[in-house]
Amino acid sequence: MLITLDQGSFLSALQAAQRASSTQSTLPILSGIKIQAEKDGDLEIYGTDLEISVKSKCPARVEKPGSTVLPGRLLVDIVKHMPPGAIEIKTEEKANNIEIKSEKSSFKIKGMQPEDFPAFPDVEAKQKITVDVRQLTDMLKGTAKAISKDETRPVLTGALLQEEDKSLLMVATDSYRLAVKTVPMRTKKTENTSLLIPQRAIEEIQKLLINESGKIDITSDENLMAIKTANIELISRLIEGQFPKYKQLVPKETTTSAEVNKDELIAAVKRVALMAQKNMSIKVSTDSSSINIVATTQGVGEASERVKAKITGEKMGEIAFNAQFLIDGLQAISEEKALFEFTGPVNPGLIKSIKKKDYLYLLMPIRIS
Amino acid sequence: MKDSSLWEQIKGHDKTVNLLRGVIDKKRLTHAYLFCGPRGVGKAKTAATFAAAINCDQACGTCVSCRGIQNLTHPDFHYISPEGTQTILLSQVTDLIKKIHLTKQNNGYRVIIIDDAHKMLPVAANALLKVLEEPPERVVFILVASDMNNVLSTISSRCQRVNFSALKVEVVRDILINDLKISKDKADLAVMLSGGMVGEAMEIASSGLLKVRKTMVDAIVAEKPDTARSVELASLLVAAAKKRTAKIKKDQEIEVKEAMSFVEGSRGAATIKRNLETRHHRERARVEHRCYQQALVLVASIYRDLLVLKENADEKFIANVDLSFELKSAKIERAQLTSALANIDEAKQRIEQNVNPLLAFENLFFTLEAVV
Ligand SMILES: [Zn+2]
Repeated sequence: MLITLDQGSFLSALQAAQRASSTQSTLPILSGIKIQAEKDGDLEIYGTDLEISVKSKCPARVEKPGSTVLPGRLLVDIVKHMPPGAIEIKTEEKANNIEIKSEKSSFKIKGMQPEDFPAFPDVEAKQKITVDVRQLTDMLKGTAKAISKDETRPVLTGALLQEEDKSLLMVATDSYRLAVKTVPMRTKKTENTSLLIPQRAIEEIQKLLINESGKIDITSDENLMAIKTANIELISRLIEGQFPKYKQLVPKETTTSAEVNKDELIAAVKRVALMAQKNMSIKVSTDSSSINIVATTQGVGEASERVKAKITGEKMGEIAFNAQFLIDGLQAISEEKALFEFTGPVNPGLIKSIKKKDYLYLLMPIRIS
Repeated sequence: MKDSSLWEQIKGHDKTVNLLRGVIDKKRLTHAYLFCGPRGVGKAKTAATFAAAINCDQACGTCVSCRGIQNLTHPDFHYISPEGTQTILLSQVTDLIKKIHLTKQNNGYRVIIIDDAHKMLPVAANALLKVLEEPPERVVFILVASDMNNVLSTISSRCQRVNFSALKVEVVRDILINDLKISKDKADLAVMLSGGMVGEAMEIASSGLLKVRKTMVDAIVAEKPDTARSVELASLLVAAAKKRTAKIKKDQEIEVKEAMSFVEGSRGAATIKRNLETRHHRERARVEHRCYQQALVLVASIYRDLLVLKENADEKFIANVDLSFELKSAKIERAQLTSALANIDEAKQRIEQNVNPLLAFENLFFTLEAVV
């Protein structure tokens, strides 16, 4: 192999692939990155931990095609510290010795057999969801925090992406809270695709989309999902099993409804939470014109705040929530105002967006001891 | 039919291999198998071949799937063996279960090998049991066990049992000489001493223990006890074990070095190194321990040979054929021989209880010489 490429674009392509490679496996090859240069083509860069796989591309002048597997972290470090400009990568014919050269510096590293590197998975595009990148980013942001970390219930360790009539939903729950983000779709689908995407992939897709815009396709078959930008393709396994029927958990009616400025409420909760016990529990109640938040720590003191709100329905007594969970829900609202609803002290609280009606966050109360 | 297949490399289990190949040919896979039989006869190797055949009918050994199974990078293949000192931990099983709950990557089967399944901690076995009770579709478990007493009956009852018997002497001999390129003389002795276990025979052949036999026989048949000789013998046996572990340590150091050059600087590097080193340490301890047991088998073999000669049985029944001349010169009574065997058994137990091996051997040889 003999190729020349640009340091900057090589580095970003490398970093994308390296994020997929394994940091835990005792199999060295899984912490490696495979690079493959075809005649008259871009350089293809692969990383995988066997759960997700990434293939990225980088323009290159290929003089002699070839491929090799290199230590991922080391390669990233080397390229990161090279000056901007051209980089040359050369392999010796037989021994898998690779030389990486910039104008001033040169590194020799040992590669592994590319044949031993896991094959990049094939996804048959049996289903396809096309979505606006910004909307997808909002969906991921609004639900990612509610994904469960409890591995004894595998179906909750990911987010559900679901087509439903003329909308696309993303749902996640850790059984303390449930987050549902909806975006409208222009066309009605005949077949409603439903993908249960593992947390790891959710995280990586978020990173992948940072500098993207426009529309993006998510394709899938029974086993895998794929998402592809101009230069990067990410493939992930899905979670097996049935996501819980969450709709029946959402109360149809509530007894108290408070319309409140989202940022004001977040700020107030953050301040009060400083005085909360270790379990981050704060108490919420309403009077005729405001939401009141109180936190007490035994033997230390108490903090309270009053946030102006438009209250309809019954007066709400005290209900306790985890402050961080409450903040997570409020932060996912993209509008200025949010609706905070209650049905007595033992039923879940509900946070909703008002205008677009595109977000719903159900929060279980903490039992007040 | 001429085919190149991983099956061809399995020796001495024709019936079992035919049964398993039949399962593949007739596509009659069940979701769980339990391979059981003596240690070191090739159960794990057969399991890996069966795993390859499940996704590649011929178990060709060269396609992407077969190679992935051999070097553990097949996306839908998982291999577990004891990671605890002598146990399969709960965390290993929960990690496996987590993987099983993700979709497969390919359209074939997901195959899971649990090697030394009898070493699963009860909590780990119970976690696995839940999966075996409600097996996911297109998943095949292969449990490999050499001690059925330690496999939960609730687990074994959910698996189809595949029995392996000890290998015939000729098969072990063939493997040692033709596959492992061990010299004929050494191979014959090792086979006699190993009781049909290829792994064991291989270790004996390469252990340096065989060289100590002459000194041992001289000591045993000598008419006067000699403390210095006993001490020397004991240190020779311990040295043989240490030499083996030193050699293993060298390979292990290379393995660590290679792995580290690949993961250096990455987040999990320290963990990988620690895990690798713990595993290596355990491996060395295991090998050293086994060396001592083999040394005792060797000592016992000499006394057994002497008993055989006492009964005027055919010389071909003795293990240490090359030393038959010396053995015949021995003037030891039958009763003394049997009591010596009992002493050896005692030493074996002491070493199992982690008594300092050098002391245990010295003690043994003092007693043995005193017997005469
Ligand atoms: Zn094959």
